[in-house]
Amino acid sequence: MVDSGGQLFTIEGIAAALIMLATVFIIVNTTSVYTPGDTHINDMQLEVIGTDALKALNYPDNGTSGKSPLVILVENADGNGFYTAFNNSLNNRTGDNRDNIQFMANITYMNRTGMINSTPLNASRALYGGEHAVRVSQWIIVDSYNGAALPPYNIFPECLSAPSCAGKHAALVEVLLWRD
Amino acid sequence: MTDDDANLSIDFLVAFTIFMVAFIWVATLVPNLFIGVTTHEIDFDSVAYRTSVILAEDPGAFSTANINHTRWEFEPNSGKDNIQRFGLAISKKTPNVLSEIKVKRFFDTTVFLEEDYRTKAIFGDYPYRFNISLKEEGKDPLFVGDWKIPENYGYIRKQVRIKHFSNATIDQTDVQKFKLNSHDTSSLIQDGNVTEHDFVIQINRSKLLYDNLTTPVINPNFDVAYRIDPRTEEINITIEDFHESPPVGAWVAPRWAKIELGCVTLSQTISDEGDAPTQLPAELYKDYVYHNMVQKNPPFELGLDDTLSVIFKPGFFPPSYDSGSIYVKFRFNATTNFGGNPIYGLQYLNTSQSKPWELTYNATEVTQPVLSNAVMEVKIW
Repeated sequence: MVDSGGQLFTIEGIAAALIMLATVFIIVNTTSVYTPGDTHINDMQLEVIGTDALKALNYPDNGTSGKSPLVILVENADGNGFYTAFNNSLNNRTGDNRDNIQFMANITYMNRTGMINSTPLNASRALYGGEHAVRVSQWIIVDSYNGAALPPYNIFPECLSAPSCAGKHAALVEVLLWRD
Repeated sequence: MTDDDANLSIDFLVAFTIFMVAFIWVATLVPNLFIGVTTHEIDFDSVAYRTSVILAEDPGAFSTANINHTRWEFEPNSGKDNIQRFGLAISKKTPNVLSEIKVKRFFDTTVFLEEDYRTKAIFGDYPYRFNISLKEEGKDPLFVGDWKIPENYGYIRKQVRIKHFSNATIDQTDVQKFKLNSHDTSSLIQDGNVTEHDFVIQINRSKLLYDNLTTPVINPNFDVAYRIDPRTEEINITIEDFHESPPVGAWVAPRWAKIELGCVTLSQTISDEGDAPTQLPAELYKDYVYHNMVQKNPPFELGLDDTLSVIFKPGFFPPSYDSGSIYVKFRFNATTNFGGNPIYGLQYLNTSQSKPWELTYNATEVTQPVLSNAVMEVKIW
């Protein structure tokens, strides 16, 4: 005698499987889950805006002996000037309302003793932790001695007297960007 | 006695393993199966990014070879289908530096339709809707695309700079500095006694395109952002100060003189070997003389307070030559005064005894190209 115990009822099995799959698909499809993978879009936007803002500052104005506004600002340790120029470019929009991106800028360079120093340039707001910041950077070449008659000659701490400051520095302008 | 409570059967383990493997396999398949259905919604941001990069970092492309030009911005409205890709950058080496003429052309919505922007800037099979805007510091924003923007759209913003054209003014200072007048009235040459005064402006393509720009040199990769390129940019030279009263050695007509601009001719050399310039045909190269900033073809009479300009629109000169010079020759007639009597010894603009006035990178004489700040936004949905 044929017993039906342990038999797979093929048609019903396939039908049930399809119904289950369809249900799972509909449920998954109706809710949009903001996965960590999606944050890269916002990060990328911030990165593009920040990189462009630095790049725009790094084109020398015509007739300025080859120095870009960024180089001049860094050489003179002009934090306020950097704030105005960078913030203006960073939060500029084609409409009337401005964007609200915060930033914190540092300059990193190697000093005469071969140590890596980092000096703050300026920030729109202090970074408290918890903000999700992205980093953008731009290499520049600066003159160590900025022609000032009296100290401080510029932002580089080892530059205490004019003769010791001759030469060029490679410096990295690093900016952290985040939205409130 | 053995008890089989709490034992896991082999059958169950095998079945569960097979089920899990199958489930994982199906689960990984599902997104791939349906990606084609939802693609245009999930890639708004990347399409916006792609469009912004094409516009800000690419000089654009032209599909067919054309004997007159190789740049999309010079294609006349009737041939817009030959444009393969819009791109506003002045060159590939200078990302985010836009060309003034390209910006002007791109935002000309009387010529380009939405479909043109889709096929030449946005790309993709899905007919995306878009809003592209550009705002230059101190100017009104420019827009193309839809005004009604939905809640969900792809967005990117790019900080850019716009390179503006150079321009030059020849005034009393230049004339005295470079002795651009007929001044040698005492010698045997007697060039002051002529009644026709030829005044020449030289646009030296070799120097403008290949000479050093500044000292110290700006990063040579950025050169093109500061060059005056007579092939692709507008050249605007104005002569003024006709009213300046002549001190000794000055150039300007006294009140009683009647001056007429007789003709303006263009000629060029195509190498620096010292060949004689050949004249450019006047029927092809025309309509570039401006009297008080109004286009007017000579001959016409010049008043003392007038300005005289030559404005060569971008693409005016043949683009295939990158060496030699272009010469603009003005011929001023000063044969009679207002009373109808002949004039002798008039000092006027005249370069027969001096070098032509030259368009150079000297910022004292020529206003150099300026980079202005601007921001571009691309929205896609």
